[in-house]
Amino acid sequence: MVAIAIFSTDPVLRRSLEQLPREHAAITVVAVADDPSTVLRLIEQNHVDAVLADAPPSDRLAEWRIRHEHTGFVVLLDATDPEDAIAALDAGAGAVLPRSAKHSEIVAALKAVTSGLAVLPREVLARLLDGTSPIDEVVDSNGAAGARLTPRELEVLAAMADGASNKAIARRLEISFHTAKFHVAAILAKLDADSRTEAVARAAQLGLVML
Amino acid sequence: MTESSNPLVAFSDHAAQLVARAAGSIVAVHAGGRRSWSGIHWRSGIIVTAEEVLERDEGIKITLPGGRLVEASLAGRDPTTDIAVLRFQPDGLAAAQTADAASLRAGHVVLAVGNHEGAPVASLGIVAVAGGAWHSLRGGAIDNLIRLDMRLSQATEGGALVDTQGRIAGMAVLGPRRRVLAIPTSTIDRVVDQLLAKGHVFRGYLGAGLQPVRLARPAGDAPPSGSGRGILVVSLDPDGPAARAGVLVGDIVTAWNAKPVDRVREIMRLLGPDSVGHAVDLALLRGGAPTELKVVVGERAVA
Repeated sequence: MVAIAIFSTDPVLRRSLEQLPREHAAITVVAVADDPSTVLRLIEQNHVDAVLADAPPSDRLAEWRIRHEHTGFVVLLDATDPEDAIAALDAGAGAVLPRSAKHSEIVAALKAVTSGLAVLPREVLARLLDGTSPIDEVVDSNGAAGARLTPRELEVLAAMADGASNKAIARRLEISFHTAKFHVAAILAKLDADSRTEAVARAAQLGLVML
Repeated sequence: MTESSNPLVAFSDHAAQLVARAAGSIVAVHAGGRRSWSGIHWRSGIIVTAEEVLERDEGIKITLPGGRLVEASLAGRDPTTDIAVLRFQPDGLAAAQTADAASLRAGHVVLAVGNHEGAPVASLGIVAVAGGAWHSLRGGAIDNLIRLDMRLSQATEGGALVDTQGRIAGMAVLGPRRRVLAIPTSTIDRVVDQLLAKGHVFRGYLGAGLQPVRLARPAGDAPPSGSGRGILVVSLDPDGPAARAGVLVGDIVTAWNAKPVDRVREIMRLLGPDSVGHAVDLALLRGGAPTELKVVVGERAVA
């Protein structure tokens, strides 16, 4: 049984997280907080194995961690921006998950941190590993990883960054409209983006398009 | 309670009136494929629609309220604010009555109104967040953050955000993670002016591929000042402004005009329309040693 405290300022998310024990008998919720200043007191008053915190201020998280080094901290973040995730890890998080994570994933992370294990999104891990730059993985078209872009896709991405429509991409690269559309869809999938704008923004973060 | 004093009936009838009135200036936009989106008759002969969904630059058609199909031409598009502008022959069609989106507060009841095959499509919701100016993922300056608590059908994307007085306060679009947002009136007015005058919105260009990095701390040394992070130059356009100014791959940008920077997104913001042609003092770490370079921001090629 893992006893957890939940912190979120978002009432909808809080209510959803409070339902975790219903689906997962191994979890019990012993405290719920909507104000980060009360979390420390709740950890002290209850036996808490792990804290599930939605985007906690990093100075707070660092304080909780320093006072309770045997408590596991699972942090939910709005998007898995590697920079934010790394900042949370620096502050003492044992696991970082996107806010959209499934309950089963959150439960797995809670169990992992109470065993002293860490849970990270893959792209954050790549950033942390010494000498491994995400750009190598993404640019190398010979590998098998899902996030690798082909040279053609990189050309399409550059046109997208200039604000080209699918039709304009087709014209610029002298390919058919449908081929351009196909490449754009593949790029969106590989970069886990819902729109062309989001794909370009993510690609810029990875250094794949020139600014 | 009699029918006439039933507030729910009054609310419902009022909402239907607002939709009917707004729908007079909302069109359906066809840009290839079977799907259509919505657009707003912003000024006489000028349609505003969502840039993201406009796959083609030519062969665009619009369905007017009532169902008549007419041709439209692209006047310009700005992916950073998700605004595209089309021209068409209005033939007396009324333009939208707009209102400043800054009057919206969280909790205000609002409607989204689109056009599908000539008929109105409506959604009801509330303003979830009414905030100040923000920058889109692509660095576009948007005057107010208006996040909506409503479902937006595909056909309604690019349609109007209508307040309880029937005025159009912005364009309803899908933002990151398919969240429903509104692009406010004042932003649309500004971008429409730029697109009509020049056909595009200027964006600054450095010609550098960038990645955020953590700055190494030499053993036994004090921690680096600031956030301890910087922006690594991972690639360069050999003809770009950064390369011409002497920036090298491997340089780490730590400040822009003496203001610390540690996120690629900040650079995207700083490369807004006003940046073009201006000289910027970049503070760099080169091989661990601080250095400075002056880069004149170029203009991004237009697709």
